[in-house]
Amino acid sequence: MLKIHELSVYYGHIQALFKVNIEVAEKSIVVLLGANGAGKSTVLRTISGLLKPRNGQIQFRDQAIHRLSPHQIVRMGIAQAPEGRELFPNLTVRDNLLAGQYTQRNPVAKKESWERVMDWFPVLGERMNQQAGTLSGGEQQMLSISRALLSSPILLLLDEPSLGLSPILVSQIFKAIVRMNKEKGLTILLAEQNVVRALSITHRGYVLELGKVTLEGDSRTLKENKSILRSYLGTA
Amino acid sequence: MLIQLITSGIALGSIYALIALALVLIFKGAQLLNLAQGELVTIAAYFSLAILTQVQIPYLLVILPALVLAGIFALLVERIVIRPLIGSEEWPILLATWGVSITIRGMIGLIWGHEPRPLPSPFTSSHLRLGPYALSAQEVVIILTSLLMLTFFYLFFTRTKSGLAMQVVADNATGASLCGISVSRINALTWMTSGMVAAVAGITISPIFFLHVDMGFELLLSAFSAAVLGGFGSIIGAIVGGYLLGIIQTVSGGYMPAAIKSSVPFVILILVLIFRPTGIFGKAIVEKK
Repeated sequence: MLKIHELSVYYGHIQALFKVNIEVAEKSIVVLLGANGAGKSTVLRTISGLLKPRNGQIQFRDQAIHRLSPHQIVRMGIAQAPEGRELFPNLTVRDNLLAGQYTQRNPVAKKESWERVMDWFPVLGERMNQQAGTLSGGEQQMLSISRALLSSPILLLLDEPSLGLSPILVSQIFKAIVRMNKEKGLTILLAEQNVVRALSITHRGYVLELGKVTLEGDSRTLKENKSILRSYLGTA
Repeated sequence: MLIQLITSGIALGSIYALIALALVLIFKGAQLLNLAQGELVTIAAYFSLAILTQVQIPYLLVILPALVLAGIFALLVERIVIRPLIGSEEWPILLATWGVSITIRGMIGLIWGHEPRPLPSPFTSSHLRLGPYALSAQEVVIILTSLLMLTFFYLFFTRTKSGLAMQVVADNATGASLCGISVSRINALTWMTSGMVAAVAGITISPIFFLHVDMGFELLLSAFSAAVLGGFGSIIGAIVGGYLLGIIQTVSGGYMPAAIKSSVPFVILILVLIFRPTGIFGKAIVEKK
């Protein structure tokens, strides 16, 4: 479904990604593992069009998307809950969610996806009229994921959904990820530092180190691999 | 006497409120201070003058075509001058809007001349009797048109998808693009809306003040003070600040020499900046160093 081919991305003069190849199959959950600064967020931001690659291609359902703008990529069916969440802090939770539905036209489908999100993250229903900036970290994360889901994506990108959350909330979010995949057949690409947990719910994994893919394979196989722990902790 | 002064104050305040609102819309939406906002007021007034001298239509009907022209004009300014500068620093953009201001004033001078021109309105000479009070009909037109416009824009913001998109882009442009919203399209819409809000001010005030090339610039100075008084960046603050300033200026002007009347907005601006820099509704912005 998604094919990233020989992708190189720069921040100014500094190269952040070196000829990265990643494939995400339809209806699978794939995880990008790696330490801080390994390039996980860069991969996700480039897929969403927030960064433009210098070399390489990104194909989504056999269409090149790496030159499109972020809003066009959302319209093709790729949504992201990004690093830093990028919510609308001064607007209410409801307005944040309504913004997520911006591209949707079918009223029946809109109602359905709204109800599904409320079912997955019921706490948001109690916070509807609160300003998004006043939510707790966990609630903001759920809002960010919900906003992405409301554009009815085919592929969902999640950038460290468990970052800074309590263990209970982490379990809740991981459970929701599995449900999205099982119940709706949603394809998910997530970046995570929580290696053990991430590998237990995903089908495939890629390990990034300093902008290069150093290891890839079935999540089950990767789980047995000792060098994973090393790259997760960094090479130092 | 006081009642008439307050009515005139509300009328002038409506004008300030509209221009301050137009200023804040662009400030929030596109993160820039538009020094040509006053010229969007002036050009709309001249558009209505041009229409009224070409075709015989009632004054109130001229508002619609003049609004459309002003909206298109603001859109062109955004496309031609502002958009190529997106991504550059604040100063070049600020100076570019100043350049637009000077250019428009020069163009108006070339086309219509530098002498003040009257905009004919049947309401300037008539009065509405309200018991013992006589209110200027044009002032009532200003107050009602402004209220109508403010209500319209309030509904547009809160009830429509495009209104939500404008709010969302103003709050976080990256987040907006991740929702599938084209930020550049919404920016264009913001400029158009802002141009139209300013236009209402220009069209309705011209029958009272004469049209001249600097009219918008002079109004902008007061509207800027109004926006600061309300709390710069706050939409509700711009409107409340506009009405307050209009009333204060007119009422105090009734009891002081005309020569110092026009200094009132600046005295208020200085006082606000000294004693309450965040204004009435503004929030303090903490800048990270």
